[in-house]
Amino acid sequence: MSNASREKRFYRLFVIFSMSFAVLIILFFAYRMLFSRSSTKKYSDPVISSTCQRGNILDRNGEIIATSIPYLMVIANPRQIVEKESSALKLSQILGVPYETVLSSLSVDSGYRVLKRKIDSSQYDSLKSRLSDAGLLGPVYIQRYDGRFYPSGFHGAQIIGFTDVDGNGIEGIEMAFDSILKAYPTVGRETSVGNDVYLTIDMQLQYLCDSVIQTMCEEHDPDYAVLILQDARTGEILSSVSYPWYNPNNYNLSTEDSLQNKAFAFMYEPGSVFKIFSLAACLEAGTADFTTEYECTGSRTFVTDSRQSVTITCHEPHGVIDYEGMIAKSCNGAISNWALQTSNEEFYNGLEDFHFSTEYDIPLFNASGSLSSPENWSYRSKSTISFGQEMMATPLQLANAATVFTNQGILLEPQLILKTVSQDGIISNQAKRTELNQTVSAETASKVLLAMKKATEKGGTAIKTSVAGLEVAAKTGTAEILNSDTGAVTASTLAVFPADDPMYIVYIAASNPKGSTIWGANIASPAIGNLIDDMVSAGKLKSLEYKLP
Amino acid sequence: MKTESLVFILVTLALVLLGLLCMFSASYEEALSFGFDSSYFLKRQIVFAVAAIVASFVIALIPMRFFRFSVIPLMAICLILMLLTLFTNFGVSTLGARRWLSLGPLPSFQPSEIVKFSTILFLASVLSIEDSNSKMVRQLICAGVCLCFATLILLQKDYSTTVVYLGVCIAMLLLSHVNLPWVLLGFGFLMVGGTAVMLSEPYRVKRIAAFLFPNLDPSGINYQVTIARKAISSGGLWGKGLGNGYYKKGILPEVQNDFILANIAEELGFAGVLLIFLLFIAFAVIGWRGSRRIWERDRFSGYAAFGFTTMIFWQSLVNAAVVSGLFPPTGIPMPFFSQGGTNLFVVIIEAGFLARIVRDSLSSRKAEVTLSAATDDLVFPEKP
Repeated sequence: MSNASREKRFYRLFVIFSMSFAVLIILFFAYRMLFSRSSTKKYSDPVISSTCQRGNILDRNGEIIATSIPYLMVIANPRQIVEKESSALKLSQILGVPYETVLSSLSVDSGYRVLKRKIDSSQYDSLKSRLSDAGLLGPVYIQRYDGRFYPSGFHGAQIIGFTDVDGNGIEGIEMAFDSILKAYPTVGRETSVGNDVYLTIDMQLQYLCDSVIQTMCEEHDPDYAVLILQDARTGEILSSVSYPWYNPNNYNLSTEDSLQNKAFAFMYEPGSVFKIFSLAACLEAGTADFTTEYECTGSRTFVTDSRQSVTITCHEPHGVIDYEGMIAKSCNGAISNWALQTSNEEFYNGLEDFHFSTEYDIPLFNASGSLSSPENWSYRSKSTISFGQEMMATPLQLANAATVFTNQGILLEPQLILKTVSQDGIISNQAKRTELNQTVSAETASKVLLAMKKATEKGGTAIKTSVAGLEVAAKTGTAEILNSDTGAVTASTLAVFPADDPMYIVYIAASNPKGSTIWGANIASPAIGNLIDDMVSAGKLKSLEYKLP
Repeated sequence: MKTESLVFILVTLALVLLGLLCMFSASYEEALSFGFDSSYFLKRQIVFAVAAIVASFVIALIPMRFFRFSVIPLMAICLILMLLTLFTNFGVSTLGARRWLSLGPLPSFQPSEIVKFSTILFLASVLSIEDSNSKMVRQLICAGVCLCFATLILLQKDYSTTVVYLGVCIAMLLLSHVNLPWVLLGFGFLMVGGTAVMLSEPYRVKRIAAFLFPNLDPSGINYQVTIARKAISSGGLWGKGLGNGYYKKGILPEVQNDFILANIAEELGFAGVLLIFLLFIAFAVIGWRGSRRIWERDRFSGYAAFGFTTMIFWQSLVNAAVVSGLFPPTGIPMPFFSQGGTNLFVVIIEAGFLARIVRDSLSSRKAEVTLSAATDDLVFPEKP
């Protein structure tokens, strides 16, 4: 082969090779650009939630207690309004807002001032036409927003709480579960909804409780009144009343007093109601002599271990009584007697086991109570603590401590949250019956319960809690309010019912009643009786003698 | 036959002007994002283009034999520049690669581009010697020099340039009738070595893996290729119109550099891409024809024309293959189109050389040919 022909051949081969490659690439480009268009997706913005709706708060039966509904607000741009006075006059007529308020809003050097919130969304068209007739549409405009609405008004208000105008929870469950209720924009969803929070509260019972408390308060005019209704077998809080109350739909009208959830947060000397816990502690310790009956003469002076004398008085002589009689008649002397026969440590630890100095694990603020340890006691302390003085507890603590008597001596954790449910139906934070500790033996628990049952029978202080055909176990209390010059008292009653198979625990207290009576037996006990009556009527309880009205 | 020479110049000018236009369209967003004037890259590119065109005219006036004899000092300068880039503080590191050289008042440039140009002249000079006895030795010297410079380019982490560089060298050696067994042996050696080198850098392994399995990591290493593919697909037949590209707005990184073809495809459509290919094909065909035509008269010019044409044409093909996703992503610029002063300068000078050789191949300037033949005899006296 000659050189020339070899070169010619190489050139030809090389050019063919190069051109084939070029053609291949051109074909590839043609394929990519002309024939594969369907396979390449056009870029489109991902769907990100444009609406974020806060979750609902519901009761245990799914009744909505707090929800978000569309509202309107009227906004002004004061910089665009020249004639402030005449505009303010027109706006105050249209919106029903005082002239001075509107004028001061319009006088601010700002581009954005909200004139009125929470206008019903059905008024959009009429409002718009009225604004446009007044020639104000433009500098004044209407905006839609999601506002919070509480269909039950003041019922359970302190538990539920409320949100501020920006939708941030600032009280109650709205605050405690703010991040759970809040909706966050999500990808791939037009509307993002926050989690729904189900409470253990039963709104049907809440209405009954509120009504009973209102009746009681109208009659006895206390400074405040509280009620806790718990499920005796699970510790779930079914109702919680703190009077005075407020309407979360108009929370700006509330007073500081009405905002407080006193049922959870208020501590006071509980008085004689506490005797059931003292008795349980003494029975459990087993050192006190219960076989010898105690004779109450109205006043008794004890000599303590430290050789100091303590005089305990009852408001009337109770005669010869055993421990059941002590509960039934509420004898200070008898319980002091048995408490003094029990060692300091056993008495203190026995009460401590009822969680009278610890907070509960619930999402709302609850006070820890106050029970000082024996080294801080004076010579009087043990006997006075035994009938509920020189110590403090919250209504929630007192009601919840009674779960010991309805659960074979086991103390339960109170429950307030039933569950939270996400937009996709995922359930979390589910309520679970939680046993805290075996506070007393089952035997002791049933003994105390029996004693409380005696108190509702003839001659017992809590007889007014009893309802025909249904047995109730209860203990009353009337405690002087600490540092009170007027001798004001807290009248209270703790009841467990039905006594033979406890389903409910209820505690009612009224502070400083100013009516005809001050006694727990005459104020709180009848209220509990009415509540039980109402619950039977509402079908929540079965009574053997209940007749249709 | 003068028309072919004129067509070649027109094709080249069309490529240069189209290149500047497309580079401006692709780069103004990037320039603005850096806080520069929108025509910042265009102005730089025009300076290099004008300088290169002027230099081409100067080159056209210099006799070919001057270049033939100047290859040894040229290669020496290249070696010095490469060593300066790699081992002194004059070298500038960008994105982990040490490819730029910044010497005093001169604008920073890439010596590897000059090496590509010089090596073609060197090979043309050595291989064109008409001495069949020393042929083997000369081929071995050429292969050795090429491998040395390939290693230096490789040390600058410029793998794709190395591959194209070696490809052109092998093509030129094949043209000089190197023994096929030798080439195969050398090629096998290079394949083994090249694979070893390729796998020695983690980023290259990632790129190869990403190329083979593109769906594994579309937002990572394959991002540029994936976006480029979308940009190309969105072009259609006629494109969105020059300047209307979407993916150049900060979505396709470094769009004005190696991936400029993606922007061109998006804006000018398949028609525009086809036009560019046709221009390159016309460029290559005329270049190779010129080389073939002058072959018998002037081997040096023949080799040089073959080398320059092959270099520019194959570089454009490899770039297009990378942008379309046919090849794994490597950093190889598109001749005439990619932003980068040195590359444009060298490419235009190579095109200037080609234009001159094409013109020479068409004219019957015996005197020049005899003169060069005479000097050949003078320098490399043929043994009887």
